[in-house]
Amino acid sequence: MTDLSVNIGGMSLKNPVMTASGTFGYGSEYAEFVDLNRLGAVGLKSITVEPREGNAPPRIAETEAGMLNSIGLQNVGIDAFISDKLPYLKQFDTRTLVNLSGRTVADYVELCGRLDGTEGVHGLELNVSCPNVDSGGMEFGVDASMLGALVEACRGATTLPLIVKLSPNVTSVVDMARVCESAGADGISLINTLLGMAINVETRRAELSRGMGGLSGPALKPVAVRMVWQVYNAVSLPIIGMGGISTTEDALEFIIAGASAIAVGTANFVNPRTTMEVVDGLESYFRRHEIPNLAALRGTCIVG
Amino acid sequence: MPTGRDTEARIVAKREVAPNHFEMRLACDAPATEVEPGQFLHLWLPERVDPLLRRPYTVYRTHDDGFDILFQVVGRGSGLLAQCDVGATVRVAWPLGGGFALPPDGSTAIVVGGGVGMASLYLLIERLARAHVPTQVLLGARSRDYVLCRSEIEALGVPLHIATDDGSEGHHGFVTELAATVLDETETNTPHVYACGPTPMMQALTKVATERDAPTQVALENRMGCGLGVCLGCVVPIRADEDVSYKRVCVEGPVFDARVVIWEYRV
Repeated sequence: MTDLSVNIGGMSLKNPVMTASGTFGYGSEYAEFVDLNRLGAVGLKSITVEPREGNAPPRIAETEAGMLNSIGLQNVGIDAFISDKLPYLKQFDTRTLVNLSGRTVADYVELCGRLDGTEGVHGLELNVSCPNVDSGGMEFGVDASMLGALVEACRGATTLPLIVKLSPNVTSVVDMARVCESAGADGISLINTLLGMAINVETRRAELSRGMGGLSGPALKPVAVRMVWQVYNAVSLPIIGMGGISTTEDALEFIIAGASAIAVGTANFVNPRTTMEVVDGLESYFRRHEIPNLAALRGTCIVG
Repeated sequence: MPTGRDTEARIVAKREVAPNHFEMRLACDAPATEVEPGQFLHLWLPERVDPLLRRPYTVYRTHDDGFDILFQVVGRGSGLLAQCDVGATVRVAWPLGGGFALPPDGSTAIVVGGGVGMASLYLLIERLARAHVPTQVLLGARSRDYVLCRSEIEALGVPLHIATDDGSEGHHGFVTELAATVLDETETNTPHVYACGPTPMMQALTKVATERDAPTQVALENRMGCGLGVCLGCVVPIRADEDVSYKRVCVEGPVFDARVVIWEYRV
């Protein structure tokens, strides 16, 4: 009997397969393709205090085995999220990880406070790594002292499991993870998109309206696996690994690198059944290799 | 196995109908039973990671066992699809988005297509003909070799007027000039206008039609990520009262009321 259950900083998941924030809407959009009851957790689209219209188009561009996005945190705001979006998810036997974004520490603290004790919310994920907004967003994720202060303030505002989604756009992701650990975070999500850019050579115009955007998709995967492996070997917090996962093999790579759970992101756009295929694939891999549970595989990467 | 509206489809016929323009027939086990004209499908060449994303194609025609698409090769995705052999299998999520609304009883219609935009309009023309709505089709192409759907429209008995950029057939000039003439010549009630084509054409047509108070629906296209309303990548600015808000082409469109589209923002 294979046991794929896992605990992420107090959030108990039936299996390690999650969806990455911003790639799965608020759950209902994928209900005809995915049995949400079979997901470990649903990672939800980033929420801000006020609704946001997002950035001007063009917002996406395809690149080699990847895509760039500059959505700019378009979302309905916390009030509409709680009243209109969250109730739908309560009918499913899964966990929700609500992704939060803000311009100031006070924004994040307000969001944490509003969701603390809200029925249907099982964990919070601080987005300190959005590359597509003018203020807040990635600022927090690339400055260790700002990051520490933010995580500490949020820790004081909620008893929910607190996950920090880190930016890969730093010199040392390990330093950032250590800051989160000492500030009281319960887990780390790795990684958000890598800052990138593409240019149309005929028009010499940047493909995205803001020039730069976040790179996601298979092209990102080796960078993400490396960062998971580095952080796993440096901090004891559980890691949710993500970045280009499209197949069971991709998910296994992250787990072997040290991830406790994994999230499927951009692949949801291409193949909406990806999460279900990965759940099936993991079950079959654990049976085939007679591995009793996730802990027995996690972080077992052999180097050298 | 794919479930819901995402299904395997097999290419059963392929034909180059104009230079670099392909008509492809696909068959699937559980074809959609109801398709609105203007709705689209999201096509994946399975297991590929490069190019990564699916490509949206309008549902050109429907059959009991599937559908046809009509497309121009414009980049890597359409290029790879055009190279697929008969017998190859792809994945399609369909039908997606919202289509054209037929006009109220007693109306007449003018359907204006530019180039491969006709692919979004043929099913509409078929439905209009079936509903006995008096309809005229205006078709703009760069030259006579690029006139698409000619025999199909003629088979429906719907009058077809052609404009070509080089004057090799029909009106020498823009199809929007034809539209202005036809609208001005219409003496009865104001026709409903439907359009799909290059953005400058739809923008010009919107001006022509709204100046004459003709209700106008346009089918937009855009780069898409998911096609399901999730990624928020395909938005266009749409006028709502005094405000502007971003609407997703994949779910709030691809068909919009032309009067609320803010063309100046389009890139």
